[in-house]
Amino acid sequence: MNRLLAAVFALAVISAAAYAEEISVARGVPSAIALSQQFDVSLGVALNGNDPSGIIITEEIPEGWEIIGSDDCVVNEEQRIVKCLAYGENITAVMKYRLRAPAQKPAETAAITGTWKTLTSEGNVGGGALDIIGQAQPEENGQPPAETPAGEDNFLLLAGIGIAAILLVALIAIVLVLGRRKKKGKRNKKQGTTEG
Amino acid sequence: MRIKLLALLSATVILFSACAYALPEPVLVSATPAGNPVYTTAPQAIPYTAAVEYGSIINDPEIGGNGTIGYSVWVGQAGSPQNFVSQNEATATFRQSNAPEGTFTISGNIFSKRLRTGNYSIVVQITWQKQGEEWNWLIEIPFRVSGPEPAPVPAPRFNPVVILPLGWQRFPAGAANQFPVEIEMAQTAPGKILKYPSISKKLTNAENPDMGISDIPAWLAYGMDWTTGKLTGTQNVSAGLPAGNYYRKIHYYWREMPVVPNELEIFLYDYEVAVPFAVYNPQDDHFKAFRALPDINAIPGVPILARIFLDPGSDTISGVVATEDLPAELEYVELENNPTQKPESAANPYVWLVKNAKGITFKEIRYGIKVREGTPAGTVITLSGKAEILGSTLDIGGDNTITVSGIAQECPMPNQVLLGHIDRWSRTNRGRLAMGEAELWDMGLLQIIEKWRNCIRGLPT
Repeated sequence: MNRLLAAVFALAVISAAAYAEEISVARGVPSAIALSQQFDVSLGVALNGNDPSGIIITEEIPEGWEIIGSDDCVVNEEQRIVKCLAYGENITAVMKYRLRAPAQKPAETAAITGTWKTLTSEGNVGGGALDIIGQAQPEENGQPPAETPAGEDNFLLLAGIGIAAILLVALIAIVLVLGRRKKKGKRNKKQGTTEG
Repeated sequence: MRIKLLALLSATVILFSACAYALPEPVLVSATPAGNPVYTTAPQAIPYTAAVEYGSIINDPEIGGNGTIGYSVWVGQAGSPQNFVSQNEATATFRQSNAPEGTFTISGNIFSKRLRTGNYSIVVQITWQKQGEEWNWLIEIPFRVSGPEPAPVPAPRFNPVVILPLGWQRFPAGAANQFPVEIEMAQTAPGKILKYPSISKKLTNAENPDMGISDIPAWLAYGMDWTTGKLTGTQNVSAGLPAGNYYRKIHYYWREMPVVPNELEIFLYDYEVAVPFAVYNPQDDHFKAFRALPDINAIPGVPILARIFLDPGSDTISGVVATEDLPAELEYVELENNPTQKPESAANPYVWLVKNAKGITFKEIRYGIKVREGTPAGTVITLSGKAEILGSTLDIGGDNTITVSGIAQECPMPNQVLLGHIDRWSRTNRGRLAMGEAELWDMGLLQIIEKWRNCIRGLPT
């Protein structure tokens, strides 16, 4: 999978052929982003024969695009910065962070500003801009049901719980009754054995 | 006893009933392509449809009701649908119909442009929004691509070119100024049309390349023609911007499509241009040379980046010889793929010759250095360099000392120590350091990681 992803990013880097840097970092974003959509932004490092011990990628997220979070990167929401660290043998592993598109279409295409640095070199992150194009506008479902009062939802839940509780009580009662009969039978049997 | 048991069981069941709620799932009723078909790596359109039933969502007592359904489609790696392929490999178009009630059908084409051999999925993300909350589900329609390596992405036929300003703009410090900026997307070869150009921009200071600068003291007011990509604007230089050499960097993103529309031949490109300008001190606007070193204590054996800047100021200088005479504690490190010129000499002292018959402009020289192993922690190493121009010699100013770090000196470096440093770097960036805890920024952490790896590899450092 990593080889495949490396190939993916290698291609993305070819697209930015004007950046013939020794190391390249490519950003992947979905080709179509819907309004309010949550999506992952991926970052892939192509070492191109170099052997840095670590690389830090800094992404500045444009206004209006919510930073949801990341398992791979550090997020500073106040400064709208995502910082990703890759090092060691997994330096080329794809790192991700998650964004949410604005609820309303921005006037113009937004772009993330990304840079990378190693101990002795630096460069720009190439790859995708944040285009809301070809989007699927969220639509009201075909025939939306009538507005459901919030209380009704609770009623259904409580009714379900109540029915479950009644069924349980009935079940326990049956078990107890049967248990008493069985116990009685056992006692009879025991008595019978003693008698025998 | 029996009543107590009954009450306990009832409570358990009530609790269980409350917790047993399961989120409803949309159901993929039918989809094409079916049966994981194999396509070649040749560029092609792959039609698809996905009929989805989501009545269970509408009718769900927890999240159902009056909400909105949305969706998007992309091509992802099979089994890892969030790992989508790049826009130059494949894109998706989609349309939808919303009937009958509780169902919708998405259809369109996957434009496989440069997909390599591998397993992929058409990924349909379904989003349900209700009262500000959102739920997402992913549905995958698998397919495989097999065949020879696809052709490389074609070279771009447009490129951003700075029309204005012509070269460096220079302004005295302490006064507000501005200058026009004009950037065109020049077409270098016919046959393609520019589509969806966009930019991001940032300001950097040449002398402090690692320091982020706010746009506020030097903001770019601009307008952009979104069909031609032409940017026209004004770069403002406020009175409060300190003396220094600056780059207004503008990163362009754009797509190119054929004159006769063909989704298979639309590709995404990006390129950055820089508009340089300087703010100078009128009392000291002459040639100077200065050095910039990372703002860290150096770990022995680990290379760090040194930069020398040659700033002609208002002087016209046709040549400079810069010399660095490294002290015994420092070792020169040849940088791989150094974007600046290399020294003329292969041994200490290291010498660079910079010349331009019309007069040199602001110039950067990069080289690597490392503190020799065994240099005691806390040692302060002083660099001394000279810059000669015709008729005079100056000391290289700026940063001229390196302090040897007291951390991460010895091998082996326990993993816990490394992880502790990474944690501190993370908290530094998030502003979550404990009271009195030292900050650890990017270059400091990269140094520690280099040392850690050298220890693991058993390399002499």
